[in-house]
Order: sequence, then structure tokens, then C-alpha cells
Amino acid sequence: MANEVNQRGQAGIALFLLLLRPLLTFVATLAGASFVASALLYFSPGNAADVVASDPATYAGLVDKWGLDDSLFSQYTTFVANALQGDFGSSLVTSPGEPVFEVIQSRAPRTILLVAGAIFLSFGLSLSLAFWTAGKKTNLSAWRTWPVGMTRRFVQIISILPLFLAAYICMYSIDAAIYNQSVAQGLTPPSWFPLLLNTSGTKTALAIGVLAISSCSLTEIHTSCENELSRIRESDFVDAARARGDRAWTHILAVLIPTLTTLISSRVSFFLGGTVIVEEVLHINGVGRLFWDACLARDFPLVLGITALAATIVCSARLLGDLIRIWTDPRQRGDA
Amino acid sequence: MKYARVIGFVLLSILFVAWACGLFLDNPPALTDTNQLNLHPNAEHLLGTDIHGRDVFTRMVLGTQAFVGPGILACFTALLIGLPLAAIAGWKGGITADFIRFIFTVFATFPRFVLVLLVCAIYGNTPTNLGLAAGLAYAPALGEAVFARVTEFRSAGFVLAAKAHGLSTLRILGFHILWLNARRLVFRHLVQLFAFFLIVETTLSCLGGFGTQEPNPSWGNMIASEEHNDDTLTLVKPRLETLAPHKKRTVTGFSEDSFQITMPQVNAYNPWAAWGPLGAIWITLLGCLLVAETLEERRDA
Repeated sequence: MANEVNQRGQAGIALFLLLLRPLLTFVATLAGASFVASALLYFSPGNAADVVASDPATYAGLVDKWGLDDSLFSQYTTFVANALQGDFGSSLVTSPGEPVFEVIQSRAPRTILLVAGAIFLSFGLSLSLAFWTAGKKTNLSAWRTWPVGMTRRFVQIISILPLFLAAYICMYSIDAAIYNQSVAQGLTPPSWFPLLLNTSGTKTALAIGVLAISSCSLTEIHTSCENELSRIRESDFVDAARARGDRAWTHILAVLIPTLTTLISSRVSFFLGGTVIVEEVLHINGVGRLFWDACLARDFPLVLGITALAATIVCSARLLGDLIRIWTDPRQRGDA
Repeated sequence: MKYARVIGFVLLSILFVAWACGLFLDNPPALTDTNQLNLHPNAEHLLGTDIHGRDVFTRMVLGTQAFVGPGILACFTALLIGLPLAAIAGWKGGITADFIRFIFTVFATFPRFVLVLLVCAIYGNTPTNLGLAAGLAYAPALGEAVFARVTEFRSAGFVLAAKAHGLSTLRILGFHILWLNARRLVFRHLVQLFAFFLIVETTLSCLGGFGTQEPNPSWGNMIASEEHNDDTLTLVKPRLETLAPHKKRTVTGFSEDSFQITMPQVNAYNPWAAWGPLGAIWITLLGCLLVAETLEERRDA
């Protein structure tokens, strides 16, 4: 009995140590990223007071109030201490006087929808295609292999397009083509069509945005899924499952989860960057467009707040990926 | 795949020839001709003219200046930051590797496009800043790849043999590992970084506010300059216009007491003014993809 308790205690300590590393990495990376952002701002040729001050007296007052003359370390610690309480300062130009956190909060739902939709669509599509194409070799002399080869090339050709062009082309093909066709057929299009002439079509804009972002990341996800699926399908446990008459794909999916988790957490960064472009092109009032406007207006507190938030999301995605991998993969825990 | 390889190198060669030609072209980009607005492709203007009467083909050639030079700067930046750090981390291992990889992780935390935009917003929108920021944003990816390769070969038989022969660490690391066994990997990443820079530059120029500004040409702002009324109708408007008869429109002015103003004849929209740079972007990216694929396939020595 005592031996069993001892073993459980040791397993608990091992699990704690296993979880400690990703947790420490998360905290350290976040601290490092916020330091880099603060340092970029600290060494900039101008500062936040430049943006709003109209005379030297106001400028001196603002510099004193915001502590812009303090050392980098002092400014950084103040920023981190305030940020931990949810205080990122106030917007200067984009939404003057409003707290940065509230400005971001009001725009966040659309961006979250965009990113979540893009993750869901790109991974769903890539995984479905990978199940079909994985492990299949293509040969020009064998015409039966052409569809697989053509699918791979097609995915590559779509994915190399810049995101803003993909968004334009999605609009062109979906929005304008359907509008033109419906008018040509004598149909009356719905009131929210076409999107470009109707700014209230947020849902359509989000759908087009999701399509554009996910189409630009198909190749990398598809190739990774293909490689992993080929490796898993050749494994002994899949042969054993088939020999038993089990459904092989359930076993394959279970083994695929850690890889998929890593892939998703590594692509979150791309999707977040993509929202800036897509929201600007499609006029979606999300955080991405807010970031673009803040950069144009040199609204430094807002820029820093959104950058810190993006870094936090990327770090959190990595942490979540690590935890799910530890949870789903027995080899990570040393059980197997 | 052999043909794909050749096509990739040919496409990138054309790009660099265009860039070199652009260095010697004497065509003020701001020069507009109101008598030649929206001309469709003809013998004099291979891709026609844009809404300001400027030759589209010439502007496409000149537009390569906006991204080839800064793109090469981005490659050098990533190379100078990522390669030495990764080589040291891979060779030393231990806590040095942990620290250097932590720096890579910190920079990789920022979405690349966000980092580039952040640097441009803070330090100014210049091609140099854009190149440096793109190089900085891509350096972690290059560094991680080189780190994995150096770690793989650190204890290889030929490295131990070189050590036993008394070769210096610099020679083993620089020549035997990095040059002989990692150069294709590095070149592949540099080609990918060049493609990334093209995407960033054209995106910023097209969306406006950052990147190359009018009247200087860039493939991105060439697409954007075809906007007529609304800034999102670039490619859609011509399609929407197809519902109306596609005619030449003549706009005449008003006559006053002593003079009459006649506005120049405005031709129908020239689709090549937008499709030309769009196709050029796509073809260049395709060339980069094919060359990167070739470098991926061919194993290092």
C-alpha cells in the first residue's frame, strides 16, 4: 500500500516537472516579447507625447506624466505592472481617451470569429485532402495518379497567393460573380449583396475573410498532415488494427492529435497576422483593422497593447498545444 | 520535376533581368499623359496604359525596384542574425543553445506581418526599415532550421575525423557543416524569405499608407491605383461594369464666353493595368516556390 502511494507521488512529481517546463517557457517568452516591444518603442525617434502635444509646455507635462524620460527598465516594469491589471493606457488618436483594453474588447469578437473559422476550415480541408492524397505517388505515365498530383499542385498554387490578393479574388469570384450571375438571370439579389456595395454585410465579409485566410495556409498544413499520415499508416499498430478487423482511421486520428495540436498552435501566429490584411481589405471592424489604423496614426499605446495581446495569444496557443500534447501522447509522459 | 526546376530558375532570372533593366530605365514614374488614358495593349504599349496614361509595362519593370533591393537586404539581415546564432547554438548545445533558442522563440512570438508593421510605424516607412524588419521577423525560422541541421551533424563521423585532424572549429563549422551540409537549406529559406518580402511589400503598397507610395511604382500600388471611386473595388468593379455596355466614353466640358474646354477622350478600363502586376506577383511567387522545392529535393553533399 505504502509502495503504491509512493509510486503515485513519484508519478505526480514527474507530471508536475513535465508541466513546469511549458509553463515557465510561457511566462519567460511573454516577458521577453513584451520587453522587445517596449524596447522597440523606447528607441523610436519620436514618442507618444509627440503625437498629441501641440506646444512645448504640454509636451513636457505629458513626458513627465507618462514617464517617457524614465529608463527602459523602469518603463518596462511599469508597463508590465499595469498590463497585469488590464491597464494598457488610453488610446491617443484612434479612439481618443478610451482605455486600450476596452477599445480592443469591443472589436475582438469579429477577429476571434475570423481566426477560429480560418483554423477550422483550413485544418478540415487540409486533413480531408491529406487522407486522400497521403502516401500516393504520382507518375506522369500513369494517368490514374494525375488527380492526386493535380490536387497537390492546385493546393500549392492557391497557397502561394498573397493574402490580400486571395481576399480580392474571393470577393471577385464569390461576391461579384454571384451578383452578376443573379442579375443576368433576372433574379433580384438579397439586400446585402453585393458585399462591396453594402457595408452592412459583415457576415459575408467574415465568410470571405475565413476563406481567404484558410486558402493561404493550405499547403503547409496539407503537406505536414500528408507526411504524418504516411508515417502513421506504415506503423505496425495500424497493421495490427487492420488484422483485428478494427477501423484503422480511429487509431490513426488518435495518434494524429498531438501533431495536429502542434500544427494549429504554430499557425495561430499566421492567422493573427492575416486578420490585419483581410480586415483592412474587406472593411471588417476587427482588431486587425484597428491595429492598421493605429499604426498609420502612430497611436503608440494602442499599437503596443495590440502587439502585446497578439504575443499573449500566440504564447497561450503554444502552451495549450504543449499541454494537449502531454495529455494525449503517452510517450511525452513517459508512460509508454 | 526537372521541368519545374528549369521553369523556376527561368522565372526568377527574368525578374532579376527586369530589376537590372529598371536600374538604367529613364522614365519618370510621375509622368502622366492625359491623351493616353486607359489605352488597351498595343504595339507601343505592350500592356496598355493606366488611368493616368502611364505605360503599364514600364511601371511593372520599374516596380521591381521596390522589392528586389530591400528583399536582398532582408535576406542579408536574416542571414547575419540567424545563421551565426544558430550555428553557435547547434555547436555548443546546453545552456547556450537554450538561451539562443529562447531569443528565437521570443521573436517568433510576434506574427511576422505585425512585427514588420510595428517597425514601420515606429521607425518610419522606408524600404531599408521594411527590409530590416522582414529579415528580423524571418530570422527565427532560419535559425531554428540551421540549429537542427548543425545539431544533427555535430557528432557525425566526418566531424570527429576533422577534429582528430586538428582542423579549427571555425573551419569545421563554417565549411564542413554549414557550407557542405546546410547551404541548400539556407538558400531555400532565403528564397522563401524573398517571397515573403514580396508579399509584405505588395500588401503594404496595395493597402496604402505604408510601402511604396505613388508616384513611385510598385506592383502593389499599381493594383491599388486602378481604384476608381471606392478603395475596395479594384478588381471587382470591372466585373460589375460588364453589365453595362463596354463603350468608349467621351466627356465634353462646358463652353463659356470666349473658350471651350474639351476633356480628353477616356477609354474603357484597361484590365491589364491591374491583371499585369497581379500576374507578375503570382508568377514571381511561383518561381520562388519552384526554386525552393528544387533546393529541398536536392540533398546537400
